[in-house]
Amino acid sequence: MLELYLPVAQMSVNPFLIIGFGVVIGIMSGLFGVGGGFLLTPLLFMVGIPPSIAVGTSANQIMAASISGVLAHLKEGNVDLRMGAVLTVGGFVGSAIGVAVLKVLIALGQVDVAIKLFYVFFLGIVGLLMFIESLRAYAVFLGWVKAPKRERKNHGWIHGLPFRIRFPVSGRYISVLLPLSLGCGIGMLTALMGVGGGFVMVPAMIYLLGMPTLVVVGTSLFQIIFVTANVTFLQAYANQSVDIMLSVLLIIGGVVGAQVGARVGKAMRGDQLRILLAMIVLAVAIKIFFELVLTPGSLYSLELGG
Amino acid sequence: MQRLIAIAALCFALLLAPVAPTWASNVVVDLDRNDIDVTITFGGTQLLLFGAVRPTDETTGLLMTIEGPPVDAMVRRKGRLLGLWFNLESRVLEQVSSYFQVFATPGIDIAATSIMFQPDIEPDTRLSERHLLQLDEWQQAYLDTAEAKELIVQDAQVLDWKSKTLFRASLNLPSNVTPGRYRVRVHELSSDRIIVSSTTYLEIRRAGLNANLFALAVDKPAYYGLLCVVLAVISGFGAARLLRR
Repeated sequence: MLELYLPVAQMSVNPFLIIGFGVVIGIMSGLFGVGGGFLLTPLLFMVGIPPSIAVGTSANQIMAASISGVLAHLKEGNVDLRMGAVLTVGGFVGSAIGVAVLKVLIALGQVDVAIKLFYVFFLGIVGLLMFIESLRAYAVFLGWVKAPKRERKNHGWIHGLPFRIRFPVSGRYISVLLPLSLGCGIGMLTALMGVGGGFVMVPAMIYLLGMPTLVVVGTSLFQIIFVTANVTFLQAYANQSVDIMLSVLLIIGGVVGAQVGARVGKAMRGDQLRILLAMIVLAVAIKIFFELVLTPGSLYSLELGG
Repeated sequence: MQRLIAIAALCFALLLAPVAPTWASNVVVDLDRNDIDVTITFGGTQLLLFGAVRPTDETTGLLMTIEGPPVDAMVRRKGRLLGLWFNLESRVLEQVSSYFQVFATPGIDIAATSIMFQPDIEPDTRLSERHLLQLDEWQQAYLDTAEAKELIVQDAQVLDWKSKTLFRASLNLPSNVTPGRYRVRVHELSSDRIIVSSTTYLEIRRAGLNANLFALAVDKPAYYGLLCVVLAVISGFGAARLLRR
């Protein structure tokens, strides 16, 4: 059996299995328009890749996928560059904090538990919200319920925030603090969970920032590139937790998968897709939750130093 | 192949020598390879150990140990806190063998692990004295977790006699072995007393692209980080080109 040795993880893997993971993630991104990092990191855990390396290397793969994804959006003019830049600035701060927190967690020996907790918490919430929302949308489509009236929510406190600037592409005039802190929070998730954060960013852009749906995905991808680049660099620099061979395998698989996903996605309805995505997200959250609460097979774990 | 021939010649000479007063040891051991390169395609390997002994009247059996380079091992123990399993306690075992296996000819009764945490076995050591060692919880946990990673086998394995004088064993090296110097020792036993010992070494080292990438990641992490970013940029644009077709 062909094996490939990972120089940083210092173990060998079956390259076809890892490429297969990349394909799955690529299909997810082609189908749902999300990066799929939330699925990738747990898959890497399953084959024994140390959690910190799974998280660091995921960020590297997402960066490559986001670059190839954003180009089409840029060409169509569906990227709010100013908003993207502000989110990126926030993301740099957040991801630097996240990498530092990860370094502390590694030193404390709590990195695997912490990463899994973040996963259960965020995937649980997002999966549940997405599930309810997509079910409702599907019910509307079937004519069971009437579509709720869309009203732009007027969050009073949001408009009271200072430093308002204009975002012409999105047609918004809002406080810069809002996208800055959003970017910061998602940057932390990128560092701690190895996700692009699109699954939080996209709804937040629509409901919190009030951006038009057309520019949301492109702008999200745009900022993910820079934040994951920052995370890749910092994880490699501070935590030695990016394995370049693992990245190469995942990227190869991702390219193939994105092709497949885009084709399959055209044949399915948006709300059906979202129900499916929500179910995958929830399944991952539940699986990791059980890993945290069930008595482990062995109470002991080993880490060999130099 | 040349090595094999050399060893065969050595074994042969050992067998023929009626009296060899200058011969320091009655037992020799060697490997089919003394260097293993951990390259990018390394997926673990099998090694053949073989040797010869000129048994005396006293000889009752052989004991062979293979020890990996010493490392500091961090052992963690999970405990329940608020319903979740956290790593609550940990202990660093300093300079333990990163790899350990014992082979013994049939009839030799030895708890393999009892010699691992002890100072070197010298000639005239009695193995029965080695059984007294009680492992603490963390040492036992180290053995169990390392065994799960295929780095340690806790029970002595059977050392095959190929004839009255020749023996051999095969050794499994998984892909997660720690690079460094491995020591192979064979002890000739008279009941449980060591008569004479022989040592040989195995060098496992990173090689080629794997060595370069590892060195870059550890010694120049900033350059390595940039390399990863550049890789993503190039493959991202490359993928976009491919996908457009």
